[in-house]
Amino acid sequence: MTSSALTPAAAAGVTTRGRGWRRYPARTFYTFVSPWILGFLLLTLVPIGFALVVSFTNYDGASSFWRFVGFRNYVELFTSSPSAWQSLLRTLAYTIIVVPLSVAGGLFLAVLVNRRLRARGVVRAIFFIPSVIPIVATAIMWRLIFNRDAGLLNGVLSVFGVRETIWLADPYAFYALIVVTLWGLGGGMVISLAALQDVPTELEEAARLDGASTWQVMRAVVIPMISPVLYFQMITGIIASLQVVVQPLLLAQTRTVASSQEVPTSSTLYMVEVYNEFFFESRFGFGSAMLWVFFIAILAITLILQWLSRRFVFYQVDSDQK
Amino acid sequence: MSIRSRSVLAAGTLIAVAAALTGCSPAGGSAGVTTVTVMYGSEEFAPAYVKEFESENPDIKITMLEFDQTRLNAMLTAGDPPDLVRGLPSANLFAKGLAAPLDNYLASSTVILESDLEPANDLWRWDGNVRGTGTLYGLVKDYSPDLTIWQNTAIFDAAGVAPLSTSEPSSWDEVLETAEALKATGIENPLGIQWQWGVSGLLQTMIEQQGGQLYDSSLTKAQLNTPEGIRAIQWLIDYGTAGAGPTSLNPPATGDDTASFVTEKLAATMTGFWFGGNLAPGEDTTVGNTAQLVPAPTFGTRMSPILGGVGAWIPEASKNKDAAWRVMEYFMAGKPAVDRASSGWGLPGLTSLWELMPSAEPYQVQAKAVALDEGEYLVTLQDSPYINSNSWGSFLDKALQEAIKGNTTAEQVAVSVEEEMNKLLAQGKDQLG
Repeated sequence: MTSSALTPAAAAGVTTRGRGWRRYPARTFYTFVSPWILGFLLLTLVPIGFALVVSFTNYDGASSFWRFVGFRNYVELFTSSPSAWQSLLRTLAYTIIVVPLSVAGGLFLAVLVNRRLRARGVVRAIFFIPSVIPIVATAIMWRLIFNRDAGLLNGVLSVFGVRETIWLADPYAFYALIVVTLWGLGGGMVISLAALQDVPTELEEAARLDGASTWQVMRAVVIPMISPVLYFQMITGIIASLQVVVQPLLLAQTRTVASSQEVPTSSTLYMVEVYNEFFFESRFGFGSAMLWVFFIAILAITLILQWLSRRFVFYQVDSDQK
Repeated sequence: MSIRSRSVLAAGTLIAVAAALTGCSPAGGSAGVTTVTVMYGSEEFAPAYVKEFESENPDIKITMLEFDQTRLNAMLTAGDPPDLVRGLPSANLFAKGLAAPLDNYLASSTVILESDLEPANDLWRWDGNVRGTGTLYGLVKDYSPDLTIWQNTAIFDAAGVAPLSTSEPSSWDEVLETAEALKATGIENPLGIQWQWGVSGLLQTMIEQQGGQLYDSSLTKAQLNTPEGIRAIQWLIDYGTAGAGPTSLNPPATGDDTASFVTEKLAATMTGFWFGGNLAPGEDTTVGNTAQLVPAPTFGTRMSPILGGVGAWIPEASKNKDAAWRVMEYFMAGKPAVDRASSGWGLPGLTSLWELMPSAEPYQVQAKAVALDEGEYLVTLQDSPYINSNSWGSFLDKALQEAIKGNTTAEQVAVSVEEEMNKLLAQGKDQLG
């Protein structure tokens, strides 16, 4: 057989015909994906399985005094752990506030910087840079801003006669956490901006010729066209918001190292509660049960959203594809 | 040979080479040299100390790990712990059999003599039921009667309020009244009680000073809903409600009372002897000129507990206990101990080192005298093996916050915290048997 007899795919080395040829692409494929497969197995599947086993024990993370306790940790979580459920409600509230504001805010900024502006690149950079600043630096900056005695916010408010407020303690710590989270809107802006630039201008022009206003073009043309990207931001935003732990720890007004016990109640989100169970109470079994319940809850939320997304996400399909 | 066989052979060779490179060296290091893994704070066990120890003890090499509780847990679980570890004494640690007994090492030591041990080291003793007596599982690095109070007499004088007595302990009620009197003169935060460090030790001391106990005799039940417990909780609520000083609802801007006292924003702070280290010569502060150490207040019986007692212990699973003990001797009686004693930060764990404590300044002389006197009243607070002492902090603080906000009473705080703690105690009991 000569090379001219090969199909284009075979000539490119990706043919699936013939015994030998079939084997080599498969080997190449598995060689390239093996780091991810190994990573998934060793760093995701094994820890998840291990956590499941631990969730049925009273393991304390250090000593050899542990045994299987059946479903006791799960029973306790569902029947006598009000603080865990309160933290879950707080986390849901945080997510419900933060995710829509992040996605809508990012889209708003994207629309803003997608227009013909003077120094457009600089404006885009100004919005984007906060999202790439390391979270520790961001937290330190906001702790200074929210500082009761020497903070910028209280300083500005005092000009208007507002009495100094302890922003990083209850009940304001929750709102401070939201502000710090929204500071990273620029990341969503960049993603939305890329999506906006992918919207065919002829569609917008056609709509305008039909008499559509700017808002109508946005609602009926642009948003449906970029809905997969918005949906992506929403789903990743929800998962990330539900799992937030670093920001509350860093914002806690502690002396030196972030301590989950010193996180104010209003910003004690679910993962902070889990962190407490593991590293302060040494209740690895109960903490693992909390994680497993949370994992299933997140999975369920994701699947429900995936199912619902058929109604509001529009995927473009090439006309020659079935 | 098939491709599969060759692959297996190659993989086997790789594993063998890797094992030879990483795991086949002697556990203790090269011949004649034992490697001791020390998990401590690098600012406390500085590289210079490691270098000095190794030059004086060529048969021992130290590998330093920065203290990390999570990593320590992982190493303990894996059965390969460090050989010397920083830590706080606790019945929970001892009851789990994690720490090695040190009595035999101490009996044969020529560097650390049992007669030279300050009573504070008894915090590291456990007889299977009571902490403070029995087998020795660790040594105190340095310590402080933690409920002693520093007061800035200049602020008291300016406010026209009499300072607390430096010779006799005030009652907790007198302390609060004094703080309220200072508050009435316009001082925003008169008295810091280091709320952010946790108030469970303070609460327990108040209970024991009244003749009560935090746990029942089986150490499996918390006893807060008692007259002694309610009185102690009420004091903390009154302190918070009166705005007498920083709490979780009103945290110090710097996250710590000490800095506020140094900058003369607090009239008094319950920082214990440690605070002297902040006033060392060369520090840009004037508060040392008017600072005094005051005995730990009381609710009846005079007691002055050590709430910490940080030191070092040798894990039972350590493979190099003998060498680890020699590092312990150096750290507790050698140059690191001498440097600590002369810094003024804490009280030395060995009596012989007390003469090194700084006494150039009047406040240093006064503080040392108070510390000596407090030594007569040092106690080891009751400790349950079934609970991690950290557990109290979060529950107590959150319950107290609600009471300070006026949402609950002292009795409700007692009941809710008792419930939470009893749950944990029951699980601890179930675990340890």
